[in-house]
Amino acid sequence: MRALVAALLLSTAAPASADQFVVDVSERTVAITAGFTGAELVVFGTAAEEQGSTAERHGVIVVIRGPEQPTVVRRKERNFGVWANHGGVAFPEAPAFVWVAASEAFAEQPLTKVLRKHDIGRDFLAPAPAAGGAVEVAEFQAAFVRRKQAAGLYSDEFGRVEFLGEHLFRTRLRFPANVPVGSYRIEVFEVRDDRVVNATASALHVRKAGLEAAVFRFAHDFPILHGLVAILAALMAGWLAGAVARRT
Amino acid sequence: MQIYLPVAELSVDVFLLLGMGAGVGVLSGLFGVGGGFLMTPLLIFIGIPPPVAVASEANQLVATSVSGVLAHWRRGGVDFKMGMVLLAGGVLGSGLGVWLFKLLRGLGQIDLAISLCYVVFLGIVGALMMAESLRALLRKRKGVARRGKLHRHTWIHGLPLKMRFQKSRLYISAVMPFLIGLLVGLLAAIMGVGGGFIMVPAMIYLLGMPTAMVAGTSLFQILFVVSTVTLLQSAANQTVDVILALLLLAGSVVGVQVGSRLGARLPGEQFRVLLAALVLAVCLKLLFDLVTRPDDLFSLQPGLL
Repeated sequence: MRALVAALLLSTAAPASADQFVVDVSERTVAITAGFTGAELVVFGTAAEEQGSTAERHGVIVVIRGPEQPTVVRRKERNFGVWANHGGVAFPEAPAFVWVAASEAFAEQPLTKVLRKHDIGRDFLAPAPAAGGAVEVAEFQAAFVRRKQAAGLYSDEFGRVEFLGEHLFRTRLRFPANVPVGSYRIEVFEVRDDRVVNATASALHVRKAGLEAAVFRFAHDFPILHGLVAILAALMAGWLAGAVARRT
Repeated sequence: MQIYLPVAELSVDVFLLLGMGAGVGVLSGLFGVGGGFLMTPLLIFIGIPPPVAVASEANQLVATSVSGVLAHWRRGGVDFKMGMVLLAGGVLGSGLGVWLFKLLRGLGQIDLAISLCYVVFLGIVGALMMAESLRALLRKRKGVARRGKLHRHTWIHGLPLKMRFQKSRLYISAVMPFLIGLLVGLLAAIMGVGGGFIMVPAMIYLLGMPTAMVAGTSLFQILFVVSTVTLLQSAANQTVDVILALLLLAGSVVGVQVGSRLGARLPGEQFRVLLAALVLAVCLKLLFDLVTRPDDLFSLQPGLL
């Protein structure tokens, strides 16, 4: 990874490549294994225009988002003294995870305001409800974003995109341990004079690996056999524990 | 040290799980209860999704009950005939429970159903246990040993389908044990408990079984019911996390040994009061959470309406 950044640093030194908008990421695949506590990714690239100055209205915005996951937002109401779910709104295509970073000029401003201005991420700022939605959809949309932020799955403020020189930029993302499994998209926007002048999108995958993946696949592909194995494992463990206890 | 649970799909500290297993294990050993009624709420409290907590706890209880059954069986403390009748009801009940679980989950009411079941049953059992053990303490202090009647004839003896249970020296209708088994199976599937805390009093007070047979026979039924629940939850909901179950188990194995050794040295009656207080405390905590206004009225659930 470091070598890549170094290579990019060298390449920016050559003026010929300065007008190209190039983005890459340190890893294309994040593997979740037994000891997974989260993962760090570095997204880096070169801006086409000179961005190094902290001039307002110029900069880079990075969005990492994925996988689309049908989700229901439920609201509790008080019935007979007990708070129980009553009514809900389904969001069939809202991304399960959203992380946003921006360079200095934008990072000081409220996230929602900047994204709305450049028409980025309309589907996660206010996800589209399933057909026949309730009257108070806006309230449920706001609740969706709020609960996601509380779970650490949506950014509530910008991460920082740093510039190293006039063109080269880089940002560091930490995927939390509860990162959802699936396909992600990395979207990078270059903004100049308050207009998006360049945009790219590329793919990223988060998947389970090793023993974790095998156990999960087994549980979902052969649910009955998995149940039997689970029982057998518990029977053996219990019998063993009993036998050891009788010895001592 | 964090470990990623493949079915629950989140990372949890290994030592937290081992510690919870050990802590609940100590209480199990001390009081001779399975501990499911404490473990399942604890798992939900640390963020395990309720469906995974319930199903994985059932899987863990398979292990805890098998060593218990073997120990009682060696001492001749299992009435297999009674166990089979209880079990027939239990299998039907757990099938019904898993189906109900799936239905309620789709309606978004499963968390509420789990909490309500806990509040109602822990409340009843805790109150009965508290009253009974306090009465026993008082009796002991007064020094009056009151002897109960050997045989009381109640409405239960009027039910049809009478069967002879030689080992328990009972001639009673099979309907009652079947219904008790059914209820316990239902609760095992929805609450992730073995149900001993309901079955044991029911066997003593409703069926009039001799106490020497109660523990072994209830464990026999529990073993098969939690096995059925594990299988059905795995097949219907894919919510059994074996890694989670095995980690809890590893902790509880040690805890149970410590607990049972402690229990032999401590006065029984006073400790039964403590257990009753613990059961009531869990009940009140859950009730409190149900009736106080939540911080956020909204919550997220995977899936569609």
